[in-house]
Amino acid sequence: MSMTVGETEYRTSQHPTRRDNIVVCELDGEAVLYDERSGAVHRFNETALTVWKACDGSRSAPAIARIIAGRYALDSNRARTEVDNVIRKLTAKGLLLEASGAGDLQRDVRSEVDPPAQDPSQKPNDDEGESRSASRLPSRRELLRGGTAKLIYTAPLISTFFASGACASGPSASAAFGAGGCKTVGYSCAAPPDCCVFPGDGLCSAGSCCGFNGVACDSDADCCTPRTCDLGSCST
Amino acid sequence: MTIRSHHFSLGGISVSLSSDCRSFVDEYRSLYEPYRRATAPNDAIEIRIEAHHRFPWRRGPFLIHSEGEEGFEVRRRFEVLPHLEWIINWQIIKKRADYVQLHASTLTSPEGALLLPGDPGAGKTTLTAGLLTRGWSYLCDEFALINPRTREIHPYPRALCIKEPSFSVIDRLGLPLCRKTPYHKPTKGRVAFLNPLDVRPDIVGAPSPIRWVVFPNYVAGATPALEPISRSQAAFQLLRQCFNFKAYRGRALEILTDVVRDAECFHLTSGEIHATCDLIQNLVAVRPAPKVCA
Repeated sequence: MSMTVGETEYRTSQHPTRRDNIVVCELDGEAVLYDERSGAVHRFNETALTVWKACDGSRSAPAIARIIAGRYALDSNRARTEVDNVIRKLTAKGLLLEASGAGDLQRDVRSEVDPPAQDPSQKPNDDEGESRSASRLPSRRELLRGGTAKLIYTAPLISTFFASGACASGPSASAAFGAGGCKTVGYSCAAPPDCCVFPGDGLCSAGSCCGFNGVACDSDADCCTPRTCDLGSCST
Repeated sequence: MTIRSHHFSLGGISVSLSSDCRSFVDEYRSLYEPYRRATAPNDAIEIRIEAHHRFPWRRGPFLIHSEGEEGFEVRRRFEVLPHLEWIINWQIIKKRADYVQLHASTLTSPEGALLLPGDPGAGKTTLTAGLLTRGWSYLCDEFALINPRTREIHPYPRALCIKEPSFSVIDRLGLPLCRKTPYHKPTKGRVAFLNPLDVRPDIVGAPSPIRWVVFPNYVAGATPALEPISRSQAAFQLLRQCFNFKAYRGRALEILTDVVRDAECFHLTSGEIHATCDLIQNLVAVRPAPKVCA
């Protein structure tokens, strides 16, 4: 199955599957997620979280749409459209496993590196009774037992930003803005949070983002005074 | 000539300051004398200020070194103290990974701590000053230092750095803002320091659990308003304000979701200072802190 986001075509499994190495914390039916591979932080509202949880590799998109339709008493066509949109977004954000055998069309989703071993300290803490990984969806019987769905439907919402540091090791001033809108070294800034350079690795000095020792650079102007750009890296 | 170091411990943050120009140490001492100590703790942040007089007719520039590395070079002496505070901030971010650090003002009451996270210019510090006149205790105006084990906020009671557009507001609050010295900070313009100990000698609070998370946004002329937000929204926005996310990564998410799980969360449109403070006081009075099940 392929989906197009903008000009880019992504290949996804017939049965969308959540990726590993994503820390998920649920709060009042919504969730905040951290993708260890990309450094992205996402927030899902209830509807998006329901779709995400359903992407366990055992259900097709139409099956997930039926769940949404039943849960929120939605028209089936609308449910299918909404679910397809969410799966498209999840795929574009690299949160779903790509289909095997997909070739050059893969963007962001494919990783050539084995996912890092999971840090035991980041494993879900089930002792608190709070599910940190996607929990079981209510069965059809449970839904029917509750009569017609009483849940209020809100359109799926996924918000994303890239946590500080994700831009810092990238190319220096070739793009003014890193992911999430921050500015790379050499570009204008009003305050330290404007700069992609992680706090402690650089700062916003005299209206321009600059780097401390070790930060990638193109010229001396990219480095915080009195450092210079030496072989592509700021140094004293 | 032997240059002596002077040691200070402000809550959990310790600084060892030395300079070949005595007046800079005296300026720092004027704010933090009660926190002075005889010896430096192991985790003290070392700061050294040097005056380089390149021309006989002009003082400066002044170099501010930190932990043996060169930090800032400033041209004017009235830029030194603001940059000294700024470089301490950066060293806290680098060295103190024992706290989860947020860009936020923090205060505390007997019911718990109030967290005011936000970008520069959101009005955190001015609102903090206002709430200090309403009986709140002070933790910090720049950092929320969250103990990752207990989830409590710890104090770092540095002087509040007030920007010039807020000077009149501080005057209206009746607070003792010293404006004799025209301190200057490049990103903020003219600034002055408000010593919280001048407001009340016992104003510094103790480590406290977070009960309210309020994201302020100052809008000139606006009617102050509080809007409840979902806890997932609050956690998401707190992560954006996390200085040392890189040190904690997925754990930061877990810790901050724990924080908001036990708190009430709001967006605040700030306006006139007294009305805005009234809104916060009503919030605390009408909504007692949620009971936390053991």
